[in-house]
Amino acid sequence: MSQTTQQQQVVVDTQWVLSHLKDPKVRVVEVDYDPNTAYNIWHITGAVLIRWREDLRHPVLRDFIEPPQFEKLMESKGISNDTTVVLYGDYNNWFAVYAFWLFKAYGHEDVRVLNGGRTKWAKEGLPTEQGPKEPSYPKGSYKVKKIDWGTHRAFFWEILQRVNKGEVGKSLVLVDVRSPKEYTGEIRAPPEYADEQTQVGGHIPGAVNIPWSQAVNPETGEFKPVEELRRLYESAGVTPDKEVITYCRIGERASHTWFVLKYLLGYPAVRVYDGSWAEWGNVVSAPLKKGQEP
Amino acid sequence: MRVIDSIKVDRTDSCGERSPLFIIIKAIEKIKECGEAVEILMNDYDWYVSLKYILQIRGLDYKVEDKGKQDNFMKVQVIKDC
Repeated sequence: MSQTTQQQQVVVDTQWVLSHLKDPKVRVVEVDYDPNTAYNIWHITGAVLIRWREDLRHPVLRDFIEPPQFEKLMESKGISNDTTVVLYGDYNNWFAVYAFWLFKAYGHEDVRVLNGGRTKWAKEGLPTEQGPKEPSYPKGSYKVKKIDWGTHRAFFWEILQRVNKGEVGKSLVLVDVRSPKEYTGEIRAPPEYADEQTQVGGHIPGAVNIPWSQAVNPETGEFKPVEELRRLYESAGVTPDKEVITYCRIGERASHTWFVLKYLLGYPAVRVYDGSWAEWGNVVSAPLKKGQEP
Repeated sequence: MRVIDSIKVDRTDSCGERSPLFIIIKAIEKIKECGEAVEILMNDYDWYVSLKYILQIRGLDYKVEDKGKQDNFMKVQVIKDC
């Protein structure tokens, strides 16, 4: 499959969504971290809502819902295994892409991302509905047929081992997609996010800093052209011949860059370390570096 | 018109428990008198549209005035309209 074809299959534009709003095989899903400042204010006409915290996170563990709960959620939103799911959401589509990662780990075949998300839809003045009322659709029929965490997720212990073996920067590229101030350790999290502060600040030794935002057009929120993206990552040593792991603070920005590398640039081996700095920066004796050097 | 507070919210760095819109609304709630305003710099059109809807939904007597751009951020003033 060519990269262009792959990109066409996972990214849709506003006009595509507009022309499929009444398509029964397509379900438009807004994925929000905070629906009260997003979906409940306005959403794309006919879109259903998935709440990141309440619907996708495990109710007890720092993890995701398990397949039976995922199946139930899909069916309640009118999604079946053969439904084309289009995701968009608040915070620059971060949680939509994080959900895309989960959909792929649970084997959903046709899931796509609305390029530019809420920002682009709003800017173009396209049809919206106001208020929290969610449309209801006939119940779907859903079965998680395969679970693939192996090619999607990296764990703390694996990265620690590879840092200690000196593999980072050689066969493995770690991409820290946080802001430069978080990377250097000047801040551990913006001050307003008290529950995401860590014991220490800095970055995983060997990680390169490429903030997620460099992959999008700031005006529209859309992904930058593929050639521009390729230059951006390759010039920083993030090349397709290496294994790549992305991380941020809680995993959502990391999945944005994961999506860019894996689905827009076609890199074969990219995973998300979703434990990210919220885990690494709290573990006793975990190695870290401060400052601008990897 | 008197600007009583100025805030800047950046989509690049905003994530976590407190939505930028929440921060914007908190700033607007400081407006008490006619003619008082809050100046907001933001770089996400979604927030701009959502802000207008929120003021409309809440039936609040505020108007949003566009003030062009500053450092590539949209600049608006929310003014108590009475």
